[in-house]
Amino acid sequence: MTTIEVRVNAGEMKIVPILWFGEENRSLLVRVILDKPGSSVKVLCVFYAKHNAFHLETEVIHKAKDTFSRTLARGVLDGDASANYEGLVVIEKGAKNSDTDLSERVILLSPYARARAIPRLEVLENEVKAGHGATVGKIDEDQLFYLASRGLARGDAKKLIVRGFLGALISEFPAEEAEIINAELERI
Amino acid sequence: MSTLTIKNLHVRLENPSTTGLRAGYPSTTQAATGHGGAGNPILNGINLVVRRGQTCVLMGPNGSGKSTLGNTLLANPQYKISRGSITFGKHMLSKMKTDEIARAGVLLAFQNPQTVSGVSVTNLLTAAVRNFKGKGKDFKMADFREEIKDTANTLKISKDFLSCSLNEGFSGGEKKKMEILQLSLLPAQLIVIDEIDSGLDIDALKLVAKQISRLRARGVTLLIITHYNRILRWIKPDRVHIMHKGKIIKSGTSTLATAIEKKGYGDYIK
Repeated sequence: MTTIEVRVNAGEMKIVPILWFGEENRSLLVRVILDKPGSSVKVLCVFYAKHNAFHLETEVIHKAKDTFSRTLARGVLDGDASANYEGLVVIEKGAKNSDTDLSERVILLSPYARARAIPRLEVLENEVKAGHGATVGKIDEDQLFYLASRGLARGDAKKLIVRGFLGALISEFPAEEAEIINAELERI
Repeated sequence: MSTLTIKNLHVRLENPSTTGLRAGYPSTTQAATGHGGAGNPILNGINLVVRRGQTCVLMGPNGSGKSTLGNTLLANPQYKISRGSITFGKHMLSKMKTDEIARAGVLLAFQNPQTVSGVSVTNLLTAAVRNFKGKGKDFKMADFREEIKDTANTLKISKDFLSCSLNEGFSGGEKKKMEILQLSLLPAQLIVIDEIDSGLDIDALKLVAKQISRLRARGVTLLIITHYNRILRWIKPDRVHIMHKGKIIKSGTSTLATAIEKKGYGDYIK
């Protein structure tokens, strides 16, 4: 497994972009340590694959006060692709006024695609804001009907929904990664 | 432009979990679901003709099957036609898929339109319009984008709403305006309008009614589903039909709608 450790300066906001488009199996651990007051991080992950497996663990450790983190992951799996994502946020004692949110959302397009999304939140300090959530599901049939009723064939409707779902995170990414995502979405 | 003909239409609620069983096995699962559950009939022999260019109103109390009829016209997979047929000109709608029906020019304004995250109304319309035939050789996407803006302007929809996620965080009124916006911009021949007048304030209702009148003037056939008379202050229908328990129990001219406003459905529902 590849491990990436990120540290953020006091008062700085860092973005950690994670992309996977199923070229090959990948296993990745990203650890962010917020030990400087007022440090912020956004861990952003977008993945789309038809084959291969993705194992991702993210850890954000709030050690200092007034720290801020967002962990946002969105993925779409087709074919026989699989993803296993464990997202962890720890707010240690003393990290007062920390603010965190952890969100993992995966859409499965094929009956052979598999995903596991496990969000974990360990909060040891009282004066904090913390939220988390995870969903893994099929594409919404009501949405498909709605788009079909505007004349879109099923395949086109799926593409539009998938592009929208993943694209909704693009504006959060730095320009370089945003361009890569856009190019990949074009190919869907 | 074509005539819509519905003949002896019977419709049941489709139960996704029994779909696979339906073909070869007796429907014990359906029988067990009880009243109002899957398999129970909702429409019990609808006969209706809407001639081209006509504006028809379908009225009736809650639960009479009006919205089911609207959804069945567009082949919503939640409903199953067990008997009867729907034709629109040469198209046998009751044998077509939703997207094919839409491309034949039959569109539905939803009572509760979906939210589509990350997809704006402009994304949706530009993707949709590519699928329609007969939009002409001189069709230019840039012109179409302008047309979207102009129609939005007419409906007093602010520019921001054209580029943000469709219906995400929109008020009831904004959603209804978005429906009319979309149907005004696609090449519609028949528009089914489901409860457009609920959730609209009086100013928004006027704007929407005006837009519907413009569609009518363009020659679009209209089937307006409503359970009260508000929108009919601005749109005078050619025909009014009353639905109850999955059947049309009374048909008449616009005076029928006026009578219902005064007296309610009581005289017709026994």
